Amino acid sequence: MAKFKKKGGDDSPGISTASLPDIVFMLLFFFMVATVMRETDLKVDLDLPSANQIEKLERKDLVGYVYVGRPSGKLAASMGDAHRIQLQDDFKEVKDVPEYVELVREGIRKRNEKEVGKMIIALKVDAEAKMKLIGDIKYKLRESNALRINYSTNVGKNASIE
Amino acid sequence: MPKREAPEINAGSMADIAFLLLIFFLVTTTMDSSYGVERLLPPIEEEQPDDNQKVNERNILSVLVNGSDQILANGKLVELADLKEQTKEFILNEDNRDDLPEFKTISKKDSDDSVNSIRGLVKSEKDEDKLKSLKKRLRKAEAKQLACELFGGDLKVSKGIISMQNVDQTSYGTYLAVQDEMASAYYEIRNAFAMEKLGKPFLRCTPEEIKAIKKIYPKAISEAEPINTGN
Repeated sequence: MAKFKKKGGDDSPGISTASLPDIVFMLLFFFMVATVMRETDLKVDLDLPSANQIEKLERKDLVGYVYVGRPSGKLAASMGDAHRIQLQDDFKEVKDVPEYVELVREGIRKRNEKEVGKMIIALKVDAEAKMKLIGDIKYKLRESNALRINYSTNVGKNASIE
Repeated sequence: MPKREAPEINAGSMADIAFLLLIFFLVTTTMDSSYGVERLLPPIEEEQPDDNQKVNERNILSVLVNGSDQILANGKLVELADLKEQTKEFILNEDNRDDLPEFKTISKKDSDDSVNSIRGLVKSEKDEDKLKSLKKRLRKAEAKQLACELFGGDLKVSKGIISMQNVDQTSYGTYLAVQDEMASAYYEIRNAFAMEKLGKPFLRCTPEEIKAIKKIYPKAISEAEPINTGN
């Protein structure tokens, strides 16, 4: 049976790596699709509360973010560890909120005039923050007529997502 | 002349390139939480609303969260875990107890009448602003009408209002947890109602059905201005 005679020795054949690029590409595409480039660098520590009755923010282009938390890491030394507001890339005060709202509104207006009224302000607030600060922010939002808000939360244990 | 074959391109480094990109995306990815609790803030009124408008005491559930994150419901200390049951009891008032909210009845005829009368007003109204508020009223009336049609005859709607108040020192986490408990209470009631009447969970209902159920169990949570404790 010469036909079936082994050609080489008993060396085990090397595993083909030809499909490696395919696998890697698959992973690559997954991450490319799932990636959301965060526009702002977080300067505060956020430990969001959890909630069950929640909704998903669908239209990211209509959302403005207000962050509230303790200055993170290195910044804590210079800024203290009281809760602070971050708008875009900087620490801000409560009085700066209307200005930011106007900025977001202007951005939406440029894209689509009709959707200005649909603006949502998402409050990403650390669970330990005091309501004094949040109350003040909410009052400023009401003053600048930004009435649709969204308290960002983590998904709770018995979540029902509308 | 012999045909020369094009040399094959070595694809061995393809994996390296892909790996490089992969690692880049791995590092930059932030799985951002995009879930949240949506709320509509009340607009600031020019004139203060009438406080004279007396609301019957039995129709109010006042929930106060103090600076130590304790919860007082109608003056009694309650645990967060019990708040949902109490809220449900308050809204449903199944045994018609007289310390829990009364009901108002909406009959089919009334809802038809109000829809028709508002429609008449809409036709004759010229002023933009007034037209807007009329249309809003029309939508509400139509939702009531729809609810009557869907669930047959007269509706019993609770007059109960939950009044929520916090102090400056209340922590945001507790505030949101209380909000969530109350929202859960409404959700469970609506869900049970949908299961009973329509045989499907609330979130599977059509938009019309959802609108109608929301009319029967309207979310009546009002937030009072926080109490300033001065510290």
